[in-house]
Formats: sequence, C-alpha cells, structure tokens
Amino acid sequence: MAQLLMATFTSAVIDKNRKIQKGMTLTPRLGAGFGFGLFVVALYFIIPIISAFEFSIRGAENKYSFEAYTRIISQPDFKDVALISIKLVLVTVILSTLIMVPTVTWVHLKAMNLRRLVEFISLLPLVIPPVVLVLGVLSSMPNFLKATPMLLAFEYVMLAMPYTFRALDAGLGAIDVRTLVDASRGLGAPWRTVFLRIVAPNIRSAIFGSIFLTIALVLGEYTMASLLLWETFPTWIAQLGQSEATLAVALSIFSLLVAWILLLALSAVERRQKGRQ
Amino acid sequence: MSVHSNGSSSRVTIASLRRTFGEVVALDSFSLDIKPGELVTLLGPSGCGKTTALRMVAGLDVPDSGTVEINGNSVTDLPPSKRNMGMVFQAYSLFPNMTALENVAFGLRVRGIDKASRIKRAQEMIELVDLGKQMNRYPNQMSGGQQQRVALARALAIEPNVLLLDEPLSALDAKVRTHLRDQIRKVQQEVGITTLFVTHDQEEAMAISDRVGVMNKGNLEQLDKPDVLYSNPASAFVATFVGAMNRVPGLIVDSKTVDVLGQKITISNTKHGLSKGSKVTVMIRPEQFSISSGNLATITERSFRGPMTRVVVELNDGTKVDLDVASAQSTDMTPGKRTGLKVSAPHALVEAI
Repeated sequence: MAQLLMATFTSAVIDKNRKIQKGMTLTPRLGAGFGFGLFVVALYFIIPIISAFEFSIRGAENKYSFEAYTRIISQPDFKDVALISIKLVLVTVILSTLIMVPTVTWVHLKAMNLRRLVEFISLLPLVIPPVVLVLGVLSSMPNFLKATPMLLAFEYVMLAMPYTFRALDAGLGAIDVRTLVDASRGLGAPWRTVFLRIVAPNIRSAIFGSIFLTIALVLGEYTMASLLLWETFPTWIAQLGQSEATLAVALSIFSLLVAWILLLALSAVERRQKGRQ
Repeated sequence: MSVHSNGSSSRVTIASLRRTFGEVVALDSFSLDIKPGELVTLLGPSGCGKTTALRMVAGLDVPDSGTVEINGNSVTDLPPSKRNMGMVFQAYSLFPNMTALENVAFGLRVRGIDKASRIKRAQEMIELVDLGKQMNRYPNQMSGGQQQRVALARALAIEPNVLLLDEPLSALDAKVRTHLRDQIRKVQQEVGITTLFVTHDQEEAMAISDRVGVMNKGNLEQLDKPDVLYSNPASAFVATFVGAMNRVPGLIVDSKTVDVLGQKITISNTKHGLSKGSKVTVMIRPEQFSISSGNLATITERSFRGPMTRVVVELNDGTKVDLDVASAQSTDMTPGKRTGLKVSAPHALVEAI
C-alpha cells in the first residue's frame, strides 16, 4: 500500500520543489486531455484503496462494520510492532537527512562534475537485489547493531537514496546555492551557520519532500524486514493476512492513513513556516 | 548617522597572483596596489581573469602562487569568513528566507553583535541605499535593482576592510544600471571604503573609477586614470577595447613619427622597433578625424546619434574609417560624396602589419 504512496509522492514532491522554488504556478494551463488523463490515473490509484476499504468494513452477511479497525488496537503485538516502525521511521529520517543533505549540497557546491556519478550511485538500490543489500549491510555492521531491528534503518537509508537524492537535487538546482554560500561565507559565517541558516531554510521544501518519501518507504517496506526476520508493520500485516484477511486489509488502510496523517502534519509545518515569510 | 567603515583607510596589495585551471592560465602574475579609499575597476572581456582575481582577494578561490595583503598583513591563507570583506555578486545573492533588514543584519549577527545594535546598524545601512520603506520585504518582493542595493548595504554593514563588487549591475536594465552605478560611487565616497570593482562594461568603469585596470588573458595590460587610459592607451588591446578605434594604414617616417594620409603624427609607443618606411597600422579615435576638402575617401554611411553623427568613409585602399562629427556640421555629408580627411591626434599607437 505504501508503494502506492511512494509512487504518487515521488514525482509530485520533486515537481513541487522545482516549481515552488522558481516561483512558478502550480496550476499550469493544460488542456482538457491532460485533466482527463489525470482523472484516469487518479482512478487507478483510488479504486484499489476504496475497494480495500470496502472489503475491510464488510462484515458477516455483507453488513458493514468497523469491527476490524477496533480489533487492530486490541491485537497483542500491535503496540510493539507500531513502536518498532515508528522508531525505524525516526532513525531512518534522521540518518538519511544527516547523510544526504550535506552530501548533495557538497556535490552542488564543489563537485557538480560528479553529480551524474552520485545520481547513478543513488539509483543502485533499485537494481541491486535486496538480498545482496541485506547481506552487504549485515556483514559491514558492528555486532551490537546486528542484534537490533534498528539495523533496518541503515538498509532503508540506502533504499530511500534514489528518492532523497532526486528531491534534494531538484531543490538545490532551483537556487543559486553557490552564490548564497559565497555571500554568507564572505559575511563571516562559519560553515555550520551557512548550512543551518542559509542552505537548509532555502531547500526546506526539498528536505520535507525527502522526509515524506523516506517515511512512506519505511512504512511500506516488506522485503528487507522479512529477510532479516524482524517484525515491522508491513511484515506483521502480511503475517496476519495469512489467517485474517479482513484484519490485514484494515491494517493496510490504517497504515496508509497513518502515513497520510504524518505527511499532512509535515506539510502543515512546512506551510506554516512558509507562511511566516 | 555613522556609516563610516573601519576599513576606510585599508590598502590592498596584490602581488604576483597566479591561478590555472588545468591547462588554462586564468591569472598570470597579477599585481595591483589599491590605495586607501580608492575605487579601482578591473575591466576586460569575458575570461580575462578579472573575476578570478576578485574571488582570490575575497578568499573564495585559492591562488597557485602570489599574495594578497591588507594594510601590509597577508590574508592569502585566511578563509573568506576571516577576511572581513564585503562583496556584492553578479547574481542576486540575497538570502531568500530573510527580509532585507535580516539580510543586512546577517553579517553582524554572525559576529555576535547584540540585537538592538545590529538592527540599528542595518537600518542605517538600508537608509543609506534609500530603501528605508522596503526593509521588511523579502527578496522576491523587490526588483533586481533594489536587491542589489540591499546587497550593497549588507556588504557595507559589517564595516569591511575592502568592498568587492563583482559585476553587480550586469543583470539590470540600462536605466536602473546607470542610477545604481552612480549610487554605488556616491556611497563608496561617502563611506570612504577601498573598493575593487569588476566589470566588462567600459562606460561603467570609466564613470565611477579612480583608476581602471584593463585585463587581457590573465594579465593586467594597463592601470591608469580613466582619461589617461582613453587618451593614451599602452597597447593595441587597450586602445581597441576602451572606446572606438580606427585602424588605418601608415608609414614610419622616423622612430618618433608616422605618416597617416599624408599627415605627420607623433608615435606614442616609441619602442616599436620598426625602421623608416615600414608599413604599419595606426590607431586613431573617431573624434580625432575631421572632414576636409580633398579626394582621399568616399563617404559610405551616415547615422544620426543626437549631438554627434557617426560618418563612415572608405579610403582609396578600401579601409573603412569611422568619424564622429557634430550633427550640425554633418548635413552635407551624404553617402557617395568624395572628401578629404584631417587627423588631429596629438599622438597615436602604431602596430606592425
């Protein structure tokens, strides 16, 4: 389910960064054909969600009830699994932001000729089989990390790279970052101030975009968690689905809602900060 | 209102700066001495090394060799944040997330100056560039000219040793450009700050500089007052780059004299090493020619330019010569008419053919 979210957000976030930063309108004057196309694509995403929701509330004798949803919270593993997933979201977002924002900024500032190479490297998680990534990270991590589900955060940072790189790259491409950095350095700002007060606020949309995508990825990732035998929200849902289909679908919808609420909350924070300007 | 800079009496000494990018020599043994309170402009075509020189003074680029000194103290190895220099860039460089006032106060904030003092100082500087009513606007709510004025105020607010201006007017339209150019000069003189200005626009350079350095291929070809640069260029490059210049054929009479269209003119570059009778190209400005009676050339074009009219004549050997004639006296200079030419240049550069 979260893969749907990823697909929708990836292009939207990157596109939004480019347009907002350049002060362009978000509602281009496009023809009726485009509108119809958009409607069809929207149906493609919405119909499965509506169908899933309808299935999750369909009770015995085709009567509708929210019983599956009330049962979610009473599941014995729910709290533990939710906690693990939330921790993973936090750790992945922090790690990913701390690694990717300075890296992509550095590429834009000092090594634009390496941009294509870095972009290529960022795309590797899409082509390297998950089992190879899992083993690679497993063999390179210290033992204390191997024993905790937080190991997955390192895997997720890699998995999120194609999305985080592109979101940040678009954001930095929309501002004259080199001139802004030169100007602030010339005014006596140390690198930390340059980064925190000049670069980061001016690529805020891109950073938020990158965080949106990372959250969506973590809340939907199944393969790696399953290979490493850790129980996260998606693996738990899959496990439940083998015995209780209605509950599993209700959980999918629930997880989608949680992701949406998180994204909307982040979006509201971003808008509020923008509003101050 | 005190707007004077601490660095108003700073002397900048640049010695033998060299910078290469791979095989390309961007700057080759570049030296320049800027007196306290002086405005020196580096003028030259794109790629001549002028911006590279400025960035090295700012510390934004590192030289392969050479030194930069402020008041006798070397700053060559200092990062830009420790040099205390104010810079205005060609591209709009205001921080988009801050208002004009916050932009101007930024440099003071990183210096740890208390809020009340920095706001007061920032307000003074914004008033100095006549933008008092726009101080709470964000960059995207201001015009290009206003943004560059805020950038100037921001650069001056930190009381820099030197003000560095990297083609700050090139993105502006002609009218705003002229206005801001004059405002920069006014503010620079009012503050009394040593300034290095970089431009490819000779009119801009001539209008506001105490001295102009003409650069070519990484070298400083000539550094002089604007009028000297125009009337007594040191090289053929300077002569043709600064102002309009005719290249007409001549014959060496002796080491100090050249014959142009039958008239004797003193040679300004006497170390030409050419022997008597050598054919040369002589450089003479359009206003140093005048129309006379005779049969030396044919008028081919005439274009009205307000008080002056540009007349183009073709010599008998096919060389085209531009003349600037007072419009009131040009009415009978019609294309096709045969004419004579009088040269009134006190001296001229010669170049071997």
